[in-house]
Amino acid sequence: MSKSPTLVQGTLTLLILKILELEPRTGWAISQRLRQMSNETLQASHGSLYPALHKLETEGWIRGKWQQSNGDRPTKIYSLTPAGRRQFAAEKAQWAKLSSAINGILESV
Amino acid sequence: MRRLQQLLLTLRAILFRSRVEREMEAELAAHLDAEACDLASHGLDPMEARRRAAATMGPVELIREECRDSRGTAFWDHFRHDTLFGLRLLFKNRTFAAMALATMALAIGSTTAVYSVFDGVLLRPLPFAAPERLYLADYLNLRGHFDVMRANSRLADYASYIGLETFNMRGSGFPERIQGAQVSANFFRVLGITPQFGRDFSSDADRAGAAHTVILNHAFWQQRYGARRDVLGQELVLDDVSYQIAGVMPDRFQFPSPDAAFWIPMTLDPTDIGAYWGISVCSTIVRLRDGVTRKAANAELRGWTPRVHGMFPWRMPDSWGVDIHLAPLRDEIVAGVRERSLLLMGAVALVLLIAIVNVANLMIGQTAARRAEFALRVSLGATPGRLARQLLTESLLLSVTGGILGTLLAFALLAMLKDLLPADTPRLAEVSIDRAIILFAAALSLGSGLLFGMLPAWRARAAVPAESPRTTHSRMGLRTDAALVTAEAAFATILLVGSGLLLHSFWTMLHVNPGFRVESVVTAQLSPDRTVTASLDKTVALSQAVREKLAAYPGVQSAAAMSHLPLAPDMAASSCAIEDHPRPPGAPQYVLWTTAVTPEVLDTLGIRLLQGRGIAAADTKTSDPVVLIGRTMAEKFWPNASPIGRRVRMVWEDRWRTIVGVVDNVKEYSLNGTPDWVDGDIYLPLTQATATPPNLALVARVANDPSALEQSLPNLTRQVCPTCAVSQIARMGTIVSAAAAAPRSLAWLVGGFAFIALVLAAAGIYGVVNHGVARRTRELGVRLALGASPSQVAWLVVQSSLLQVIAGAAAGLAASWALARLIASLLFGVGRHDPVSFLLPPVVLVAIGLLAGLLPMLRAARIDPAASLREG
Repeated sequence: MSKSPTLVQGTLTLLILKILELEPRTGWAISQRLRQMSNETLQASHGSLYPALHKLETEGWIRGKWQQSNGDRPTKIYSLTPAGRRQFAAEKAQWAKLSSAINGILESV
Repeated sequence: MRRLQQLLLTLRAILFRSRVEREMEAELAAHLDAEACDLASHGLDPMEARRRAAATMGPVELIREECRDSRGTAFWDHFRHDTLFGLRLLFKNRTFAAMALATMALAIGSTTAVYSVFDGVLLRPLPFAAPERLYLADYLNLRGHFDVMRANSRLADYASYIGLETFNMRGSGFPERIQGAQVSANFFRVLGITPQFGRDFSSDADRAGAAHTVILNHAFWQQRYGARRDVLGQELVLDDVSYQIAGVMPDRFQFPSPDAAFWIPMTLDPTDIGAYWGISVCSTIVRLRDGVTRKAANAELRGWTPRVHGMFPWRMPDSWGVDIHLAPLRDEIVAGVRERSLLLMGAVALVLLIAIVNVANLMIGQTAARRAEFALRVSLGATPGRLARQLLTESLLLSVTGGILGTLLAFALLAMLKDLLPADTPRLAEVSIDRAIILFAAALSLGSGLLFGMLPAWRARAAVPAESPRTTHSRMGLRTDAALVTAEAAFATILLVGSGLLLHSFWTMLHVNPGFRVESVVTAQLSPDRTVTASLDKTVALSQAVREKLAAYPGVQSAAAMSHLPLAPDMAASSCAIEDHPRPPGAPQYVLWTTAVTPEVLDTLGIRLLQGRGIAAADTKTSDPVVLIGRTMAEKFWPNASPIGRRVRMVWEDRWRTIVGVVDNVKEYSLNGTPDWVDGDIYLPLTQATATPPNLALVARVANDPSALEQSLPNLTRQVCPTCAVSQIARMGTIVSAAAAAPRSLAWLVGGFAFIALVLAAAGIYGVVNHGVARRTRELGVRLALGASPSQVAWLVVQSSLLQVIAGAAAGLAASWALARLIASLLFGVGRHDPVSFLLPPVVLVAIGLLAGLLPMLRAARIDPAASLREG
């Protein structure tokens, strides 16, 4: 995966799950949201989002559905599966633990 | 749920690859559109918006590749790629592909066909309910004994059958001979099978006085009755007794033999002492009840032996019954063919191994030619593992295609095999190529693909980009080639020695002196109806009338009748006491092979009289009983004296029979000689026979072409006896030849496999030598330029292969020396270390090796040194 140095391994997954927790979106909408939420600090190349999405889909955490909205091209809308919801909760807890641990180390020094 | 989704998505990605690809493209395109739209809505020029969108997107090809990776189908994509590449390659190298495919198809086809027989005959459970609980009570073959066990066993159900018997079937016109089996009333119930329609025998059908019923074989019902359902209740007249048809068995039921056209109940009548306790003919099947072990049932059966011993109306030897035990029914049925089947399986496995070595050889030749390609690939970033995988895929492609062709071929080969195997091979009719066999062929194909793909794949890993494409061989490559040729020669030698032993043994058997005239003798079986066979006098009178009729036929020099022919399958052993040779009390008496004959038999069959006189017309029912004995018996019992005037006695008779003559040995039992348990051969006058023979064998020696007599025989006998059936009209030569059927088929089959092995080995050696010449063109050119003569160069290329062949042959001979033990029991008149069979194969192999190397040798000798140096 072509990683932006600002994206810690695994965080992209967490962020995608977070974004999809609110509502189903297309790939492009997810990338838009990613940029907005992080105030443009997280600069993953847009393309690298797709392998991540396909991986999450294969894992069964999100599901992609092709939808046709009046006359436009069909678009693929991703939504969170129940398994994805559980995964998100788990990863969020994991992240909280990890980041607090790292913060603790950084502050103690 | 999640697992299911994963599985479905992966499957979809594999099966609908192009659709998934299209969707990915669409999704990426949609992203670009949306991004460009968004940028344009912020006031950018549409063209610029597109450019920017593409830039933020990143390298599309890389994204595509990563998307594919994240689907988890990279394995399959590579597989697909390698397969397509392999196919293109095979299509390009058609000669190579054709050779490899033909080799694999032949090898997998023959292995599959032989395995289907092996599996169907030896391995499959019998086609009965719960077959693992079925046993045969070995040595329990008296009706009375069976009846006692059936009535009293608490642990098992006992059923019984009498193997094939021949009956006169009365239809319209003259009677026909037809084979059927007598079975106990509960026979089908114990085997766990019911008639396809109609009803089973009633449980008292085997009691004296029960109504006569018959159950038909499915095939017989179809042929004879046109598969009509209204046969039930109809009459079938067998040996003048009318039977009512009760049912028809299903198609697959063919026990004890596919030749049994029908089953009738045997008679278990304790008041008929002779039949009930005396004639040992029936086989006893035992089905263990629920939860009963073989050990327990065995103990019960043996526990009854002393009690049954006491029930005999006469005193049995003390040793009677000690051998009785339960043996798995299937093993008993196929016991006679176990060794032959194993041998065939071994032979075909060797052919398969040679084929695998051959294809590995071809593949290595191919990969050597592709070294430049591999070096290029490695320098472009292919890992050695990836290269090996590609080669393995290519070889699997070959083996699977070869396997499919081979499986198709196996159907044809199995049909051939069924014709070639002796007709009395048990369960042969059950053998077919079904799903299990096809699975076996598939596993075999994959396995051999892996085997012959492994070497080239392993060697491809050594491809290094630094190696210049001009370097065309390595030391390791030469070593593997050498190993392959050696292995091939070794396997071929084992097959050649084995087939040599079997063929030599078969040849010896064909040339054994049977002790009687084989040429110009016509034989037939005459089966009188019961009104005749009920009395010995009538049978004797009939035999005389028929004999005279035959003798009067133009061209007939001599004609005779006898109770059975030599080498016939009839059981003709009698228990006899021999004067001067009393047996210890309790020990069984001598077993003598007994034939009742008319006086002309010695003359007609050319059996030599060594001492005394033959049987004369004066030996009648009322004259003193006389007997002729065979030479071996004379030498065994009276080594230093003349046996003439000594006497023998049938154990159930009071009168002694005087030996009046000694005849030369006749192969009465089989061409192999007499089994251990037979102590000698005797001949009685038909007039003094111990019992009326149910059939008469007619023999006639002719001066001219036997076919005229063969055609007239039925008519001639009908003139004398219209109610007699005539069957098995054959020349003596045919009968002797049929007696060697099993060794013949084995010798031909193994010989055939050895021939295939030889052809494959020749092709393999040709390939290696040829490949060697191509590889060494430059070197050979240099040698020629430096003054080597063409013949020296030619010798050089074939020399190493020849040494390998010799090494392989030596290894093969050593292995054969050890393996010969396994087939020793199948050999006749040939030692298992027969020098001819061991010396010939290496000579043949070296000759074949030279022959195979001839073309490449010529090519090497004709190399133009100047041209080869320029090219190099």
